[in-house]
Amino acid sequence: MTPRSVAAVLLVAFVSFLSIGKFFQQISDFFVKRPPIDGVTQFTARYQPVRSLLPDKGVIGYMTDPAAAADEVNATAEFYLAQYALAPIVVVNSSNQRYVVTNFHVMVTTGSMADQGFKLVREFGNGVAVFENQQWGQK
Amino acid sequence: MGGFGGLLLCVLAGFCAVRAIWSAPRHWSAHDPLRLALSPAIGLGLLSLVDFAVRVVLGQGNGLAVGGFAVLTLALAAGAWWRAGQAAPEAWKRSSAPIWLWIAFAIVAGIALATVLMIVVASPHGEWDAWSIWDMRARFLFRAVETGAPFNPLMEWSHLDYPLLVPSAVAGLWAWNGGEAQWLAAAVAILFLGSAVTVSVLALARLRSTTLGLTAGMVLAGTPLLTRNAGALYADVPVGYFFLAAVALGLLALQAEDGRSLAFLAGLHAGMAAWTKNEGLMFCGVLLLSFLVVIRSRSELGQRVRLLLPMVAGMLVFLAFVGHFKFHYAPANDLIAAGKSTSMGARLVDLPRYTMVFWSIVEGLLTFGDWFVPPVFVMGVWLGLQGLRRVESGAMLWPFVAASLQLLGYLIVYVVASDRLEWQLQTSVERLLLQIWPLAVFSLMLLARDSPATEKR
Repeated sequence: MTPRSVAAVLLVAFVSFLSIGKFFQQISDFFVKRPPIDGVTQFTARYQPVRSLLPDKGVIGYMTDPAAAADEVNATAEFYLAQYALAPIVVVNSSNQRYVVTNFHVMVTTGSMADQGFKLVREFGNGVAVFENQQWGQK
Repeated sequence: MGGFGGLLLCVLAGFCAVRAIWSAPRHWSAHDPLRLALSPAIGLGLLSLVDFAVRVVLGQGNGLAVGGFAVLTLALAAGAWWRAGQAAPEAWKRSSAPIWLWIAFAIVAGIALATVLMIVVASPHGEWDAWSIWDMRARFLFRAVETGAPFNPLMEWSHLDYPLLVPSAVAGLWAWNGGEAQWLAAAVAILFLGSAVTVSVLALARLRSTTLGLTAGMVLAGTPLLTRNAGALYADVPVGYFFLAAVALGLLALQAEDGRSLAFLAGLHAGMAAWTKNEGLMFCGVLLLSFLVVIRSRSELGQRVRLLLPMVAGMLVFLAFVGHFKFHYAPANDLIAAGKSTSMGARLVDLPRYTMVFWSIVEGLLTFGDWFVPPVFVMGVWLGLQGLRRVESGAMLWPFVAASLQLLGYLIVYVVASDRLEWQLQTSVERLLLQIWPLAVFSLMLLARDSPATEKR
């Protein structure tokens, strides 16, 4: 190799090493401080028991609280994650289905839900429950 | 057999497929390292075809998916064995590279591997697009009892028109595993990242020199964005890998005495790109168009057809499945559907849109890759030191032309089809550049001069 070629390759090697090395350092800093369970696993685990209640196919509604809906990106992410957890049931971001799965972050009473026409089927804790929409199918 | 066994079988099926097409004697041959590097991606591509055919087209379950792939692997092994009996011994004049360069490459590649492993351990479900598109589709395919369930129009937000190589391959591996295991999705992502690095090293070692191959490998392994995207379990690294492998195999076909089998493999890889992401469909057109220009210089029409036909045939293997999927299950692409709502023709002559896209791509290029120093400057200095090579045949310009045409295609799609241009540019330019990055690095290595001591030809 000519000295120019050696210099060229050394330059690439040096910058590649620094670039991936810096990234490695960032990731390893995060890696050692990471929570024991990642966010996606933690969120979707809340819906694990719901899956056993639901059939293998069909569509279910989805309801979250207004406080969550205000943060649009997080609300969208949580809706997508609920779908990710509940596949192959199709989750639609609407309460206009016979059964509705919830993702509440604030306290919601079964009484207030009943006032809106939703009867509790089962509660799973952590804001997750399945309600039956009693107005479903009525005009 | 388990998920690990399924992965090994994919590599075996891929290796047998490559050897059945690009044959070699039964003993370990000169080009077998490259064949082996090509194997995981081809194996995963074939697994995805079988899985799609069994689950979606035939509406059957795991048993047939596993059995079908096992039978295909056996058939490919028999084909490879039979073809090996007719193959001539391979010769390849190996070029040397200094030991320090091998060590530098190993260090950079090792750090990249450690980094991507930490990412997938910390975030096994990947990032946004992984759990809202790719892995979610894998879950639907694996869990669904109805063939149409993964493509229910109520989930149009999940880009139901996106092709299925990655989700079907993951679902296929879960079938071998006997249940869902997130590490298998991560393994698929890491295999594609590794293939991009090793195929660029080994193909360049054959086309130019080992020194240039290792340099390209270092650039790719040293690109944090490539590692980050692989760890995010997105499909940009797989599609970028297929772009690179298709062109590399096409170049090897042009240099071979009888390049038909390599041209077929090149087409197969372009078809797999189309089965991975919609951008791959555009790439099939780009590859064919640029290949036609390159082989135009060949004197006889018969010579041109002998290379072109196998390439088209290779593409059609996967394009047939893409077509079936698009016509029977997928809705119209959201960009195209959006474009219909307003006049595409009016956008075509809207100059400010061109300016906006152009500067966005320039900005993307200048900040690309999360490098310590922008790679445009580093590679510019590198090329300045190496010097430009006197190009004796248009073939060596082909990868550069293909990468440029693909970029031009992205520019036009942005201009014509995007309804939310600014947002789309902000969220996707980096990933589109990443798809072309392995091919761009590869093409740069072909254009650079190399030290006479290490230059192959």
